[in-house]
Amino acid sequence: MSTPSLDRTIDLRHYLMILWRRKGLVILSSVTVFCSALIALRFMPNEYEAQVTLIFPERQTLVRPLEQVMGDRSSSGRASEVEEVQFANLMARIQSRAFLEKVAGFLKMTENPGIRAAAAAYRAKHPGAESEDFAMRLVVQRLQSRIRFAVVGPGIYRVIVRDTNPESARDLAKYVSELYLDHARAAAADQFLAQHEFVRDQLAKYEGDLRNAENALKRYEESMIGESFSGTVRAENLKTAEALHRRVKKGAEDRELQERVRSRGLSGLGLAPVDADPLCERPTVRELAGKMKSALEDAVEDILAMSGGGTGAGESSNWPPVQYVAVQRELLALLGSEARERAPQSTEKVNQELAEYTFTRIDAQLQEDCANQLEQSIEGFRRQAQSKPADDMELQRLQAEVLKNREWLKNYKDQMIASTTRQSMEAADLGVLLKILDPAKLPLTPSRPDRMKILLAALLLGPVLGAGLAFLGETTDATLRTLEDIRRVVPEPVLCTTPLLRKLQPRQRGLRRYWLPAAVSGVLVLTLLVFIASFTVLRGLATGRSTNVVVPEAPSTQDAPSR
Amino acid sequence: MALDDELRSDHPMTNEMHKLGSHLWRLVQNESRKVVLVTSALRGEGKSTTVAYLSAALAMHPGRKILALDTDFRNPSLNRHFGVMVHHGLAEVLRGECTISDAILHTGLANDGSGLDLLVPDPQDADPDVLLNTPKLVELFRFLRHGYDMVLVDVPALIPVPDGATVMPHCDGVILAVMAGLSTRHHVRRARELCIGLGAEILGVVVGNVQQAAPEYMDVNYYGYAAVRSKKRAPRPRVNP
Repeated sequence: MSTPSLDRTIDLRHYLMILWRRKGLVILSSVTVFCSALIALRFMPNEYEAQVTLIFPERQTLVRPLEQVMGDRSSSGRASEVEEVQFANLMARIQSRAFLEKVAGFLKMTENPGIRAAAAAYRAKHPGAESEDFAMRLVVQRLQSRIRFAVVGPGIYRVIVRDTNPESARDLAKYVSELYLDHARAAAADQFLAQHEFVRDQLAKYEGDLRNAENALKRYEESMIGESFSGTVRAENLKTAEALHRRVKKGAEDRELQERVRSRGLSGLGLAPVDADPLCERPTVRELAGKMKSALEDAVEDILAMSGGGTGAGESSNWPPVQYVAVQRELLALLGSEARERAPQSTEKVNQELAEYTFTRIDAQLQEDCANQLEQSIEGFRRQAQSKPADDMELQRLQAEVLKNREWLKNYKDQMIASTTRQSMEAADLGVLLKILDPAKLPLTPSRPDRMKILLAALLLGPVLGAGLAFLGETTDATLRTLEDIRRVVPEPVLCTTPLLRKLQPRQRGLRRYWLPAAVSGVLVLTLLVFIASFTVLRGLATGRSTNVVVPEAPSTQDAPSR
Repeated sequence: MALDDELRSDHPMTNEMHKLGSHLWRLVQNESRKVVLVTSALRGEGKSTTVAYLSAALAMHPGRKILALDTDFRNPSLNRHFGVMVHHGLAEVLRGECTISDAILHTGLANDGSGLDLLVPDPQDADPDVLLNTPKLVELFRFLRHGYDMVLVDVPALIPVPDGATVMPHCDGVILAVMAGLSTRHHVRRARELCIGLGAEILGVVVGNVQQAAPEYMDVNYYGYAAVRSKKRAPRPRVNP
């Protein structure tokens, strides 16, 4: 009966025996790792960290309404989100290639002999490449790996710079922070300018909207009056317009009656009404007819304009108007001369009759047209008066819109004044608000390597590595050690198990027999290899990683970036 | 300690050998397997020790006539286990220079004509390939089958030399000795393939050095029977003077 749960039982003694059997490997591994750590620590250069603490100002409350109007999302989030954005901006800006190139150029880091040598070697391999560009890229890459950031508190961040030279670390941290401050100020100023431009554009837009609303209101008010006689027919002079219409209509009817009478007269003289058409088509006659029409319309408008109080001016005014009568006389004389000029062989009476008939026809037509226009104006006004409630609503809407636009414009102007004031204050005090809380100081003790930690890790890692190697060797060892191993190879029954009567003679008389000399030899060989490797690597690092920062004499006046 | 005294003690080796002896004696009684060969894949895996202790354990019972035959001419060690001097050995028997009875050594475990006898190679130089292929070997095994209740044959390791393969067809069964911590799986697998290829029947495996491989098998304190447990290494068995 199989007992799988019992078969899976782990016997700790089995694993301990494996370790005991391969104790030489464990000891060799432990000694090797520890000696390697000692040697590496002996040649590993000390690294110093200089740190600068920056404090970011709290956002000013007067700016936020403006940013909300402008749709700025950065100020609408919670404080933690704002701090995250600040920290991300700080890291991204300082780690950016452009900023670090500025730092490297400012501190003349590309003049480091190690960097120069590396750039020259690179150019030798790539003839088409620019050595200066490669040197700058190398410096920037190393700076990126040596600058790190930490959050100290809300709005307080720390920039930590690492270097093998404590003075270089301090100078680097100092100038990185100061250049970042200048950079941030310039960026803030640019942002303020952009916001100001945006506000100005928005103000112009609101003013345009207000102007459009006012124009729309005016146009609507005018459209309500009517289209004829420039909107002179209103409720006040409706009666005058109606009286005037009656008088003009009566005059037109009188002229039409006279036209018929004179038409019969023409027939008596052997003429027909069509004989008057050539006279009507004469340019001089048409021009004068136009003057008569203008005089008639001007007279009607004057009468309607003067009758604002609804006093019945249309009934009492002088009709036909004086200008119109004068033009009538002029037209009659012109028609007489034109008739004589057209038919000099005809008698005076025939020409006179033809001229009077033509005059009567033109005058009747003009007065009829005037009467029709007046009638249309009166009808239009009456239709508008009937639809007045809807027009009033539209009028009220337009007036409300105008008032609203005026109110918005006024508020926006107020906000713009407030924000402009705040912006000016912030722009002036930016250096005070965004400041260095804790400047860079000369580090007194190296931060790396942590020798105690590394040695403790080596003490732990060596036996762990040896145990791993021991178990690995056990899995790859073909020696039969347990009854289970033997049963897998020989299916026949195990008849008996006997103890060891004398010490086994190992067949592999190599490292196992002489594990102590082998361990010592291995340690020596590994030590030598580690020494060579460390020396090679550290020599390269010594030429490449040292900053050799050249501090400029007057950085703030000449080389510092201007806002 | 004398051999019989040692085999009467509670030493783990003794207990295991008594168990193995009982098992083999049953085979002799039931299946008439009188000649059992003990071999291994390589040297140093406990063949001669197993033959020595097993034959002694079997001979301790009265009325049993046991013979331990050592055919390892290259490195004879069975006589060293019993500490006897060899005057006429197996090589002389196979060459016909002496009789079998003259070459057989009687150990101190004899009792009423029964007990343990030895037939081991003499110290002369000999060619095993020639000796083990003589017709005398067949006569030898025929004589031993008639003269003894059980014959245990110690042969050299199977893989390096062909001596074991030569002797194996004359035997009724094979016991494979495996030394835990020393034998490798491919060697043991190869030895088993050789046995099966020669038509031998493998009766079982004797595993040595099992104190490290499986300590629980050797816990003599089990059931409280370890009153005389010896913490020292088991002494080499000696023949009574």
